[in-house]
Amino acid sequence: MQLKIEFPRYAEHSDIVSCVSWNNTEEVLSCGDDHLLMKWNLITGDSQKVCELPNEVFPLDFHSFSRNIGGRKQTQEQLLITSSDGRFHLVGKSGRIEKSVDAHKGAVLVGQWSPDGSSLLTGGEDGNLKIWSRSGMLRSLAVQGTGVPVYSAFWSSDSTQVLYTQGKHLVIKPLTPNSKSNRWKAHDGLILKVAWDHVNGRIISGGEDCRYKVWDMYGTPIFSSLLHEHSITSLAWSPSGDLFAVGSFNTIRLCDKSGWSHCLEKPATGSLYCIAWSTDGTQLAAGCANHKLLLAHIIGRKVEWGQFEGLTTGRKSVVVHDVLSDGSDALEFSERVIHLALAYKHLVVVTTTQAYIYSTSNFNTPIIIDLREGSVSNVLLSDKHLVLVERTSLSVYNFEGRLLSSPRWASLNTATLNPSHITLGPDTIAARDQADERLIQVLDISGKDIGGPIQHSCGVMEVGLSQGGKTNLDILLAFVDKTRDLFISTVYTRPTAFRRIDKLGSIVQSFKWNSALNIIAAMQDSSLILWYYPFILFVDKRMTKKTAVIKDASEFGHRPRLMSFVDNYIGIQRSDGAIINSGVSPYVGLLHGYASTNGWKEALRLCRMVQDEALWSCLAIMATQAKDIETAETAYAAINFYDKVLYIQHIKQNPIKAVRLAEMSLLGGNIQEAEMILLQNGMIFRAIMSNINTHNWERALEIAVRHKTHIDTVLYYREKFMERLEKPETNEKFKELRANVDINAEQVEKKVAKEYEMEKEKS
Amino acid sequence: MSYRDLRNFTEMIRSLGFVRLVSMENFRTPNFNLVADILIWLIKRFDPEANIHEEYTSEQDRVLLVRSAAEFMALRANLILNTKRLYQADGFSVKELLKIATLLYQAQQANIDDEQNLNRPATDMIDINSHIEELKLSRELATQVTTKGASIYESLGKEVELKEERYQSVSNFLELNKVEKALKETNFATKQNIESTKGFIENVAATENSLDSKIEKKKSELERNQKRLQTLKKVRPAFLEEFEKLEVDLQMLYKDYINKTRCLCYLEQVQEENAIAEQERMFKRQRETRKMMEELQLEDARKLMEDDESLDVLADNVPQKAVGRLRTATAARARLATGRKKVYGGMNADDDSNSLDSDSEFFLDDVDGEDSSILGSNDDLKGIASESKSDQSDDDF
Repeated sequence: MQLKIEFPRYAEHSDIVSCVSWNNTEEVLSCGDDHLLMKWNLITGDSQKVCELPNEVFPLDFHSFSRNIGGRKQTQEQLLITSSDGRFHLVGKSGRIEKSVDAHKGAVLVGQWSPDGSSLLTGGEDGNLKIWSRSGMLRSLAVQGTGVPVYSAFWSSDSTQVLYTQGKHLVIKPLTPNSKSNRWKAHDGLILKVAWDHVNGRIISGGEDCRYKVWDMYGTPIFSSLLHEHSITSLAWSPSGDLFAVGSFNTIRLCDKSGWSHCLEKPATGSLYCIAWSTDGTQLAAGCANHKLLLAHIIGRKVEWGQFEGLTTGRKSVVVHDVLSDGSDALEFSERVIHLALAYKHLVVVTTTQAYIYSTSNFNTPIIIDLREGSVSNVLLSDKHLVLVERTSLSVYNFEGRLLSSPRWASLNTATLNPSHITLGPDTIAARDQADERLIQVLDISGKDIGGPIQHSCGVMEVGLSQGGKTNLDILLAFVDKTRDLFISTVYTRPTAFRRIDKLGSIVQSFKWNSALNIIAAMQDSSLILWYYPFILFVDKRMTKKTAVIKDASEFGHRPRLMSFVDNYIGIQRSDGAIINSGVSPYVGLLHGYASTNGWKEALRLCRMVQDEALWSCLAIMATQAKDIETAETAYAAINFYDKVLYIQHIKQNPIKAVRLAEMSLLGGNIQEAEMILLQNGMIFRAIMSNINTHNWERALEIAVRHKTHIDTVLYYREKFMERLEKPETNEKFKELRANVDINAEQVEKKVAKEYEMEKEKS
Repeated sequence: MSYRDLRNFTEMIRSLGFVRLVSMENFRTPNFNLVADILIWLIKRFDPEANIHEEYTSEQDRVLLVRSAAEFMALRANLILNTKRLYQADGFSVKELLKIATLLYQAQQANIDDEQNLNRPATDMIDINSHIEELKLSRELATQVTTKGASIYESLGKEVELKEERYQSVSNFLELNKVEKALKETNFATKQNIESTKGFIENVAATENSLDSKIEKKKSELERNQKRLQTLKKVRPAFLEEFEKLEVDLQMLYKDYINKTRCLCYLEQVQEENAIAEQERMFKRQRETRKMMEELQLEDARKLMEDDESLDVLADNVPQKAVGRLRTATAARARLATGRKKVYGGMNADDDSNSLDSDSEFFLDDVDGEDSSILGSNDDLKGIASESKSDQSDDDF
């Protein structure tokens, strides 16, 4: 990734440019010591003087905020300008100063709107940090004068905490009273600038010790840069949180979120006092000490899928390279390219007003979609569909460019939707609720809710839908919660059953589903784990470990991140930015293929050839799920599960097919399905017995009462059970019935024996 | 002291290239060492030869330093510094230092702008290649120096002759007006020339540009068309499948046809051969029948001759002998009777001459005619001819 820098020549400030900000994606506002507020239009290439500030106002910091009022189109923009004379000014869109407030003694060094726009903070040379209401009324004195100037401060994403600098220290202070703040020594020199990413929660800081450092939201160091020649004067996160820019004297650097540098440019600009990203994250502007405005856009963004590679080579051009045939196609667009996504044999290029869908087989004729709003922040692709996340809506398209739906739910706010909080699977969309972080909304492609949202016990950090499977029932949702535990949940359910959720692993840093199969890979602690058949969790928890393969991840270094899992290859990015490909056994894919086409013979042959326990375990569970008795028996025998083999042999002896099927579902852990099969085939006695055997007493009694048979049998077994436990009966229902029905042990035993005989006769 | 002054000052010091990094916090507490360092450095930047007191260990030294610096700036740059503030060495001294720094910074900025405008590419590319070019240039220059030297030497040699001419021309009286006019004219002409050339040059650049853009456009067009061609090539037109199927059918049919023609040819050839063989066989039979006929005639003739033996034997004897020698084996029986040989020879000669003729019937008729003239017994011969005719008709089929 590179920065392409240019300096607009059509106008110039006559003094230092100290603050810049983006008005929209094509307009930059800048302000400097010459008291001019200028507006630069990048498309038409002209600039305009918005207003001239009073002579005593030397702006130091500058933050614009646009908020929607009522309707969609109406926005009110307000600029917050802080100045060296200890005041801050609220400036309207037209450039009129609406309010000037005396805020600090000495210069006001920083001013920022909160993310929700309800309040603003200012920090001054006197060491105070103050929170003001929207109209400029003092709300609270967050930090009282320590005498150390607050050079920089930043809101947290939820507007409940403030991060500020205090000499060589960084402090995170919650705004709720009497709460303890987190303070740590961050640099060896004075900290001049700090920025807090609202997507990943990471913090960057830079100061006079000529380093920039990356921290997580608890103050744990992630990265510390090399020594620069001069102090770091400006920092800014990109809106998507995957990049940040660092400015210093004659230096601008573009870095990845883990700290390593993408590129370094040395323009002759003097110090960069302020860096601002455009909302689409493709351009940035910076104010320079040599009176110039620096504009840069990012080129060289790269996407990869299978044999194809897409690369933005300019503002309006993309080159697609086919590695196998060594051919490449240059795609030119009439507008700026904002987003690029390549997956599932399709390339989607989003420009400012249109989206182009290319099939990888033909790059000459794209399908063009006109965007509804023209500000796409994210693109998700699945096998058949794509989702565009725009400023106020989600849209689902198919690859022919037809709009299928625009899913909505109550708390949806796409402007702040975190990319790791939404996922697209085959025919399914899942997203973490933005109002309640413990909820996951699950919708199908047409925008309909599927069985209500998934409720978890604590905050969900990352979600992912599986891409494989034949039917909707095979789709699984994986999510990582705040404690970094990985959970798996079913998405679609049979009509009577409930969704099932279970924990798969803990301390999971990142996870990824395979692009075509239901295999999940995760970075767990210091190893890479592959679960060959995560569904096993709902079948036999004991065997989960058997189907998992653990690889040592020491070669991937510290904090590796899973980037992709396509076919047999896992792409892992190390903390230094190197991408390492790791191979996965191809046999798993083959086995999944055979299982989905009921090719059990081939599957057996494959397992015999490979002789891998994990594969055998997968096969055993797959066969049990598909109710293929012979294969399951062989597979269980191969992994020494004698109890299962014996049980299967017991099943085989039973002559009635329905019973066999029911028993197989029991073996597969589907008690409800087994019961349903039995009831449908009129074997009420069996259904009751299976419930008794699984200690599902209430259900057994319910069936018995409903069909008016064997009530005494249930009661008899329950009594025996309670006697064995040496406890009195506590269930009201049983107590009540016990009083009405009398039980004769002999008679019950006889009845049961008679039932079994009758069954035999029937067959 | 203000934040802005500090910020601007650090920036200027940085861009002027001060050896150490200056922090924003350095001036919060009095720090004379730093202020003195910066002051001395700034003045040295201003004039490396400047004569100021460079020590600041004792109080006296410090006062001296501040005073000499202020004096120097007042004299050289017309800048009045507040010595009291400087001596304070805190935030207020920054304001004073800023005055000097601003002066230098502005000068540098102006300089940089000029440089950027003038020779940006030259400063951008500093590497070994440019030096290589310099080497080449210097070599060229060296050769030029020698050639120039040689030419100078030559012209100096001519000096002796030219001296006289020069003196002569100098001594000539020149009319000033005329000279001025001529000069003006030539001046004007050259100016016009220059302007027209300039115009040409500009035009060349413009046309070059337009041509370049045209080439670019054509190239992109070509590329697009090629792409389109490729896609078109990929597309199969309608009926192509049917066409291919028919082509295969046709191929089959053609093969069939070739096969049949070959068979036909072969059969025709066989037929021809058969016809030839047939003809030969026919000839053979004809010959045999003729032979038989002759024999019959001979028989008849012998019978006749037996009747007229006494008359003709002597007359025919000599020629009959010569022929008889040639045909010894064939006419074994004829040797027995001398009279028979004579007749045979005469007939044989006739037969040879006629055998060239292919028409057998005609030949037979001829034989008839001749024979009749020779033999003179028409009745018998006719009977034989009719017989042979019937034979022939049998053989034909």
